[in-house]
Amino acid sequence: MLTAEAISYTTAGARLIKDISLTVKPGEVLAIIGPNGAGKSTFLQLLSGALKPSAGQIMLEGQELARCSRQDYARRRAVMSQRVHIDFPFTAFEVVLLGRSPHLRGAGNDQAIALAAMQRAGVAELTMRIYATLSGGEQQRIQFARALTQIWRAEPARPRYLLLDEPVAGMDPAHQHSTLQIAGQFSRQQVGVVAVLHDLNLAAMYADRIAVFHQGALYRCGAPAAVLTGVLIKEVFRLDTTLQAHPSRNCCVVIPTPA
Amino acid sequence: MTAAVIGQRVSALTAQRRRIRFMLCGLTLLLFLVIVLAACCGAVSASPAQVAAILLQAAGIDSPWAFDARQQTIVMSLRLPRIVLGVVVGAALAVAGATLQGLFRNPLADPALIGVSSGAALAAVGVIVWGQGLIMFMPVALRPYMLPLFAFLGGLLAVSLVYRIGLVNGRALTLTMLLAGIAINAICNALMGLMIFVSDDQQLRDLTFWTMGSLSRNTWSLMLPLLPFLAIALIGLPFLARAMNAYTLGESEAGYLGYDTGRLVKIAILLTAIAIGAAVALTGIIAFVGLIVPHLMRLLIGADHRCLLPGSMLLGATLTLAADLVSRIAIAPAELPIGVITSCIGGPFFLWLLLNKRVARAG
Repeated sequence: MLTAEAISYTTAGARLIKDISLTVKPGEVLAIIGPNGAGKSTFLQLLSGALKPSAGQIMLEGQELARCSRQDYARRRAVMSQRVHIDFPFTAFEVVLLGRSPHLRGAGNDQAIALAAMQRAGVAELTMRIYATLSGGEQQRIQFARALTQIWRAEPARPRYLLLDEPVAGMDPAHQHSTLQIAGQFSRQQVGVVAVLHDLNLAAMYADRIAVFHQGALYRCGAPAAVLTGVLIKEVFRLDTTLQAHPSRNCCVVIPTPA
Repeated sequence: MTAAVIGQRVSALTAQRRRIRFMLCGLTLLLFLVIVLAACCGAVSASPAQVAAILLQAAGIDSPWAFDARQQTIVMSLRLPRIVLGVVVGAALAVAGATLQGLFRNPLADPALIGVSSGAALAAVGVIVWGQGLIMFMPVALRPYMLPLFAFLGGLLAVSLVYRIGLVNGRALTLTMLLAGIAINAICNALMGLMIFVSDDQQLRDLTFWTMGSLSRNTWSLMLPLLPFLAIALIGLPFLARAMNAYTLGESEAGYLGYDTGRLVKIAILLTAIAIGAAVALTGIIAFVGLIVPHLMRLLIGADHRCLLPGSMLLGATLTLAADLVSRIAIAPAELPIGVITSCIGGPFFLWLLLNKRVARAG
């Protein structure tokens, strides 16, 4: 379990995160939603260890995260950031292979894993292409493959975490869904997935739980059906919506109805 | 995934690796060729066989090829140290350039940018113009080393200033460092211009050595004290290759992959500063090698630092030695400053690179 225990984060006098407690368990997809500036990305950076909380602490399997070595944590949690720009002519494969950096279990093994992850993320065709020449959506999919490569399997078997910051931004609709489907499949192999999402419908469809952030605090957290209500969306996002049942899946569809 | 598809990808990767290995072997061969040329050509020429015989004799082995004493003196005490100097300095400049470009994640970064080369040159120029009084206080044995020593210290001082400015709350901000480097660079150049303005004719000629570069200070006794510094950097920098690869994804991404980026920046800056400080102290500022060589290598073998760093060393050594060869035989018996040659090749090449990039962006 990866747990935030009453964490706050203050920088330059601004309290970006206010006393948030939240747990992600292996086996679930936790979506974080909220308006711009609600602290979603900051929270993800705190969970990923890039930022240290000003108060409270983050616990990894019952131990303080601060006690866990950088490399040990890198072996069991991968992070996909919003946008990764590379100025040098690395091939897509070389970028994905970097995901094996914390492991390095022999070149052959690492390359096989990188290729398998690229196949899984549907970017096998891009293997030898130069990363910088790919479209934004393709670059995102390469980064997703790199994150999968980093936590492809755990040796010895132990829980892993996949932290995704707006993973589907810039992807076409088909790839938005396939990416989150893959994240869901991964969650069933002892992986806890945290995804910051802007699309409420994607969150409703793929999340096991939704955490709503508002002004740096955790506004509500629970099953999609319980959290996503017209009242909440109106309060947090200031948007009028109508909710309907999805025609074929067991989830709701959020239809914006702005005045 | 089907076995056929995997096989296809794997064979593409194998082909790429084979191409890189082929390129590196070719470069090694090219460097060897230029070394042979540099040993043979000049006012007194010697055949490759004679050079081999001279080297064999120095090692105490007799050989069937005849040579005269003049050839022996020139090869052993002029050309050989000059070749060593060219190879080491060229390799150091190029690998430092490749490292800094990776570190600043900016393909246009160059050793001059962190202020180390202009800091070193400024210190040297200062010693030339005002150093006569200073020399009196130095022990006689140390006097020949005063210039390189001050140049080395000047370079380290400049880069530590840049690093200090870039250090905010214990974190090294590379963009701030880059900008600080540009500022320090400009200040050093302005001060150098001021000193050139107040210097006399003989001093002016000495000054071109530092601003244009030259491999002519090639006595063993001057080189030996600084060679260990260059060796440390040349051996140390390739060990950073993996971390540098991760670092090109961005500072936080490299951190997520388990690297201590603060330590990486510190070590990389220290090693490049040592390399460039020592190189400038020995040869003055040789322009463009640190900028162009890494670019050429990326075109040839790609961006993976594990191949890029050694490849840049090979090509940097080759280019520097070749430029030096041209500089000493183009208008013999006089010598062109090597910086003139490297800039003549480097300037147009750089423009070509920019234009190409512009076309690629537009297209």
